[in-house]
Amino acid sequence: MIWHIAKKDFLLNIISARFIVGFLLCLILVPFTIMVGIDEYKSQLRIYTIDKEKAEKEWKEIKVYSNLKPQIVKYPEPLGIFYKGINQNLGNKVKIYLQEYPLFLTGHAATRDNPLLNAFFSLDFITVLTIVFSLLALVFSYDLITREREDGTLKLIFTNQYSRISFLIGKITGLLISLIPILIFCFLLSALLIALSPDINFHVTDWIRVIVLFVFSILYLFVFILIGTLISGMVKHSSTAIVLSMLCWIWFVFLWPVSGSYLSKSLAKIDLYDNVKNSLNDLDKEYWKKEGEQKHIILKELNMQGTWWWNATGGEDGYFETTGSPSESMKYLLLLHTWKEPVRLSYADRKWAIQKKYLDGLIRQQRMEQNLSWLSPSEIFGQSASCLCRSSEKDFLRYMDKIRRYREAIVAYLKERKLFEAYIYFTPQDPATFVSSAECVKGNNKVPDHFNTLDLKDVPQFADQPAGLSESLKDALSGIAVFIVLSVLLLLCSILVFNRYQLR
Amino acid sequence: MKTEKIKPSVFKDLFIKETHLNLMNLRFQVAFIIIITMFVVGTFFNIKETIDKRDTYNKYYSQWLEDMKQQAGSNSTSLAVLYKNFIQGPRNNSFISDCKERFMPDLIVYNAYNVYGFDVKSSSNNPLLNSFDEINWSFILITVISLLSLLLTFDSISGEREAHTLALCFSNPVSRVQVLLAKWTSVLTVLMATVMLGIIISLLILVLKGQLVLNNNIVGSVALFFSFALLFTSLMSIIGLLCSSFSSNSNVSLLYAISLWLIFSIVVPNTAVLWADKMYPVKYSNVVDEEITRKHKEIIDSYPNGKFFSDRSEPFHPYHKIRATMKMDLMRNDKMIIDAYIQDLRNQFEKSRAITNISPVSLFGYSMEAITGGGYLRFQHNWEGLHTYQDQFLKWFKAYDAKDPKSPHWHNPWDNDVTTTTKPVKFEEVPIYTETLLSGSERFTKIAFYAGLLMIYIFIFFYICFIKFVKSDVR
Repeated sequence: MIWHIAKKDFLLNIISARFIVGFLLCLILVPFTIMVGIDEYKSQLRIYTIDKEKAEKEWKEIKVYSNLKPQIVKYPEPLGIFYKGINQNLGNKVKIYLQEYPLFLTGHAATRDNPLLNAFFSLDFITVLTIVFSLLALVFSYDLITREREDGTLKLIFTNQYSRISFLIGKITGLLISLIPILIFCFLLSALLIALSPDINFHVTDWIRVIVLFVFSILYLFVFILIGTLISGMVKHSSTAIVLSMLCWIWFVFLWPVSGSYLSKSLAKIDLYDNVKNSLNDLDKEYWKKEGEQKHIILKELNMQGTWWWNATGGEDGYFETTGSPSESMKYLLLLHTWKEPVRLSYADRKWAIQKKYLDGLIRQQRMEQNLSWLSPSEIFGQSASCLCRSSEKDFLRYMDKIRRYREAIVAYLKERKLFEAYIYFTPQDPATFVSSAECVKGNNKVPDHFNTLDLKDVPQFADQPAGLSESLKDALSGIAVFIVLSVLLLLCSILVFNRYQLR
Repeated sequence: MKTEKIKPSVFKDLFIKETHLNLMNLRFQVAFIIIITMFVVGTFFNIKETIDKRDTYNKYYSQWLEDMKQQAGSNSTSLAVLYKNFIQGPRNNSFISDCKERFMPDLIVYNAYNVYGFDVKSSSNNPLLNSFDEINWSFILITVISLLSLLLTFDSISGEREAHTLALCFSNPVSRVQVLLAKWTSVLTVLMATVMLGIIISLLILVLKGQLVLNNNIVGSVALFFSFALLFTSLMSIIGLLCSSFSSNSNVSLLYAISLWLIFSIVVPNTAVLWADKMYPVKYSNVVDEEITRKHKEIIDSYPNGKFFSDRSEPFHPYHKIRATMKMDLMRNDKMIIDAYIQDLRNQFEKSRAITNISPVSLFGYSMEAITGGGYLRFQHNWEGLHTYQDQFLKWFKAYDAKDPKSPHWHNPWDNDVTTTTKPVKFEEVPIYTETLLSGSERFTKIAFYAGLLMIYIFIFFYICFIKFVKSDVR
């Protein structure tokens, strides 16, 4: 019986004008969205290649350990073509510094090469799916019951020995199998466009994630079909049902996500990042003051009036490199670095306490937004999609935790080899060739034109292991569970409502 | 047989009937609640956001002034050469529209010798949250009112056709034009009355909370906003009527209407970046950086020894002049390359934006820029304003430097030792850039253009709707 009704509805739906219009709408929206996504991904890939080459070039040119600042460049997430998530808010690279822990990624991979074009937003595949398929589900389901009643066929059906439940389930099933071909078409078209793009490599696991995303999409579609069905069962006229359905659509898809974001910012306030930066700057000033005092102490200890350098260059995070400088200055530097690097590390720990508090505030605000999003199926779907596409905040936080642990490995490497207390920390010159200040002035400091770069094979390397499928599914578990519970509740409510429905 | 002349009061009767139906309709009643709630909630959120932004900006600006005073009080060359950031502050009319200023460049780097470039200041927004539009009047119009216009009109014709009341209506001496106009104007009246109420409530909240002073500028902006809201709502309503006239099923006409809305709101703006890259490509920023680095090397290699010499005890050493001349050459070279690149970026952006003018939703957004003086127009105004200011700043500095006999007068855009005068200067004498509003004529031209385009679209869609409705079978 259920299958008969489902088959009948399926055949009626696929020859209906709304099915054709819905199909054409997807045919227009999906290719544009995927092409824009592919274009943006290629741009991210280009930036990744440039940044990676630059980082590797700099790595090969390191001559002193004070310049050992590994730059980690994040490979762009190919599944970002389907759902960008929070990746669009983040950069693509981070440098490991001793003076502070990395808090966020830097770089402008997420923004466009032309910053003016940031005014144009671009929606990804899942966002378009969220908007279009919720609409299609409601447009098809709002008159599931009311249309039959208005046509007079509802009472005719129940002159036979059919149960209301089987009728309802048959109708819902028929609608679901009518819309699934459009969904399959969207995913297949997207997969085809991606497969035909030469620069994009999807691994087998990525395709499996796309298939899981497809299954989630069916669940999402099902939820909205049930919402439409429930509305149809609660009212007498199709005209009322469609209005209520559309208002639900506007609320769930457009208004609640925006309102939820605002509410989360109001309920879970965070400190301004400028205030955090000011606190970090205060710690820096405190450190610089101590360093200034320590410099005087060392100069006094070495009985020096001042220092001077023959060849010197420097940069960020305490990088200093000199050659041909007097032995007294070299000694001064050695004592200074022996003192200052451990102190800078301890200040980094103090800064991290401030940064961690700020990060906890951000996470708290994000959790609030997540909790508020349970009120919108579109938001729940988006969150589950972000877990599958590795563009959720959990993926980002895991990645940054790995980077911070990598920083600790670099610090341990430098400490174990006592490199802070070695000349090689700031000069590639052999200490045996140092000459005194007087000799330098006479020009007796024979400095070679070229120094060898460091052999860094034993330096720990950062290996990024993106989240596996099981980990992503675990992250998305709450969303899946809510969808299933919501579906069951909506189905039960629809059955309850329909059981009391006036057939005439 | 004489045909009876159509009474002018027929339109009035139809209008009253349609308006009454709309007001009694559940969809309008729910829409009314949503619109007023959004205006109220949006205003409160906007107040909070504006207060936060204003506090942050005021702190930044006070610090910036302090730094400038310090530089002026210690070394006027430092004041001239050290890079300064101009950051756009929050607007007092952002409750009308934010004009996507969160995403656009709002930081311009300059010193006395050049305006170097622009960037998007790193935001205090939580990067772990999804990005959404701000709830302001413009958002309410673009998202809520446009959809509600479609919702109120999608079955105006197809619904009546399904209910067979359209045929009954035309069995009376009523012209099709009058019916169409009555439907259109009644939806417009009820929606705009709601918008007007929302605007009044929003303004009251802003004034009572002390966040707004009703001056001529604000009143003018509000009046213009309402006018554009009227044009935009007219257009969306006529689109709804057009879709309704094309189908005999109201659910199909709803799909037509929403499809058009999705194309205008999503497809057209979404593909702007694609068109920008394909039709108006520009060089990548890394290519420009490489070009600058290459030219730098050529210029540096072309200068003789002593180009990096620095000895504070001998300010008049001729090597300092070589260094200053080389640095000016480097800066001029950078300026030439970067200015050309920035012009290309602006051309790319402006031309891509021109394509999106086919979307009424985008048009409405751009008209808000012209009304509020925000968005890209504001950035453009500040960019050009800072160039003018930089010329004045340099002239002032050169004149000040010329008065110092101890200065070697070797103007160097980046170094502040042994180049030009190191005398301090009173801060009050230093020209400071202050942002001004766009001129009335600049904004009027844009406003007139966007209003004209919207009217053309209204005419086109009304004409097509009229032809379709007149020729359609009402049975």
